[in-house]
Amino acid sequence: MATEVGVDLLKVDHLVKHFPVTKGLILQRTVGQVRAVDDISFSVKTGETLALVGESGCGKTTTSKLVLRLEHPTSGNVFIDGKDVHALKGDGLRKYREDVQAVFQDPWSSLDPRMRVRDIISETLVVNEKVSKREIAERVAHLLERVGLRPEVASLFPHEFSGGQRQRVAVASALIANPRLIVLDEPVSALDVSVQAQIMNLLQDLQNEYSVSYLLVAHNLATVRYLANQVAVMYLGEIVEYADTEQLYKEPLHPYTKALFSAALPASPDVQSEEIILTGEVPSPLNPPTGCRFHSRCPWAMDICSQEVPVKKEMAPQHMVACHLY
Amino acid sequence: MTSSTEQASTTTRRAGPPVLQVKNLKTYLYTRWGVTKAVDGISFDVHEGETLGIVGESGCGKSMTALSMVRLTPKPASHIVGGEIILDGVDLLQLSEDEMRKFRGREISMILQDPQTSLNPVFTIGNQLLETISLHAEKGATKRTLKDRAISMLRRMGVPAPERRMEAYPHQMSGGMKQRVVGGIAIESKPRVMIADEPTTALDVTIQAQYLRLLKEIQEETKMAIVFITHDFGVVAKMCDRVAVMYAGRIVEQGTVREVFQSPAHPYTQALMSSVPKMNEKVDKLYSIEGQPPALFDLPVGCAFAARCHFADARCEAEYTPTFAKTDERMAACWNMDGEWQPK
Repeated sequence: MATEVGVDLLKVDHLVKHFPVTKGLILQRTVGQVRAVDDISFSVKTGETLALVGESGCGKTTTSKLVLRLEHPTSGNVFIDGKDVHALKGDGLRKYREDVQAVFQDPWSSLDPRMRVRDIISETLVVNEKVSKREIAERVAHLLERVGLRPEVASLFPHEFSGGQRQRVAVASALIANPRLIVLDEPVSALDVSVQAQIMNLLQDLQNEYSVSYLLVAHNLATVRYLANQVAVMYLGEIVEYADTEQLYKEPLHPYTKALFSAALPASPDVQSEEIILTGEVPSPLNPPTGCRFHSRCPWAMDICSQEVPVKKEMAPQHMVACHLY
Repeated sequence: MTSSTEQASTTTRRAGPPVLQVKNLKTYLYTRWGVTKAVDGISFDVHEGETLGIVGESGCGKSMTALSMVRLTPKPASHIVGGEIILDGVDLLQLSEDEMRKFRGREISMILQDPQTSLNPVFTIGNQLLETISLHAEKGATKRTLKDRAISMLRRMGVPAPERRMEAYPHQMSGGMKQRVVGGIAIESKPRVMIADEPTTALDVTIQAQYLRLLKEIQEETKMAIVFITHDFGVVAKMCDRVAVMYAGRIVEQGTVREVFQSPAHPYTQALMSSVPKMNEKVDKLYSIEGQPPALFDLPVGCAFAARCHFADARCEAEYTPTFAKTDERMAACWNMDGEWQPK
């Protein structure tokens, strides 16, 4: 592909998504707002991977849905190649739908059980382009081989595959229209350990080959380290820390990031990590704590933390953190 | 804790007879496609205050092992066709259904993966706690004392505002809190053995850390033995004293966590461990095991891992692999072990 590696492909700018909570059946009144995503900004370069990390309810999936145009933002913008995704129409929209693809967590529910693999993979192509049947068959066969399946499986149905093979089919169907960005929403967490490694290697190889960018949504920090160039750590709808992967793993700064690292158990009884066990649970995004949203669980919380929202500071090049400690 | 004190405590713990002993357990499923050997002759034991981890990938038989131990395997498809499960000298497989009911939940209890499905959605937490508590309570205990017991149990499990939580329904609680309630029900009768089948898989990592610490504290207090079933090597490293690795219905390797992690003996364990991405190092390419586990209703004659194994030779494919032992606790089912390992 003729795209230049290292240029911002996806840019998310002050993105906000609030879901209204309504009461009443006919005269619906809004009684609150679930602040799923609250003013986040990040960018992904061509051929690189950004990971959104956080626990359930932190807004990482809502963010990926906003990028995929499956939700409309309350305010803020998503740009692909400088074009506002949510203002696209006509040909521009059609182009977007080829350029941006997704692979979801559960390959048991993301593939239509009544479609053959051939049709699942070629659907994007058939809808968006005028391509001859022969060319479609050729491209499907080529892609199946590329993702490590035999071309003959094109006529099978999803139930005839194992989880890892299904995820390979999902990857092939995301790749067929030569996308520029693939949103990977927990792509390996439903798979077995030995199969996870296969799929992660495949994703890595495909990125090098097609210089496609990934927006990776994940909670497993080891997976993230292997796949991502940059990491944004999310907590209750906000990005609390944003850094290059190597930098972040060398020196996590935000107390929440530190707690996440401490909770991610190393697969060895000899690695002793600093043990930070957070008290309590993630507060409701309906009514997030004042000031720093993490202060209610933070072991280092000070008076200021409950009063003032911390501003993002650049601690090192490409390493932003929002915390009063710094 | 340093490694030497840890080792020492493991040895003293293992001095007496084991609380639970499983010998050559076989659980088969009879299906349209044939006989599925979900658990095919496994043996292990657990001592008081000890945690044994059972790890493996999906379909390796680890959950069927858990269900077999409380005799709750799905009926009518499955049968425990052989072996012994000895809890404090009693073979659970010889008991009648009525006698078994006295053991289940009292001497041996269980925590399942998904707290959403282990609690009844139409009853309050209080209802469900009192049900178990009154079953195990002495005769003549008043409602008031039972309720107090339930509240103090919730408090012990770290549930905030336990009095109010008694009136709550499961859907009003988070996954972590529900799993605490389930854990509370499981330990209420002070069981000798607790079987935890992936209890933290559905929880977030910071909540998992809280829950694992809580389980360890309770284990130290009550000295119960835990059989911890998981697919996560990180959880095993954190929680367990010993570990058994399962593949295609058999235990392929067993030993102390330290030994198995430092020098895995079976090629499957070796491969599985190197395919886990590490937190603390960046690699260019992950090691990956090619292929998939065999179908359990169509197992090969020889070693089930032979088709995916780099070291496999003709004997691995042709002959059933016996278990070799290095010490009492260290076992591996593989033909390619060196002279230190003797057939068992």
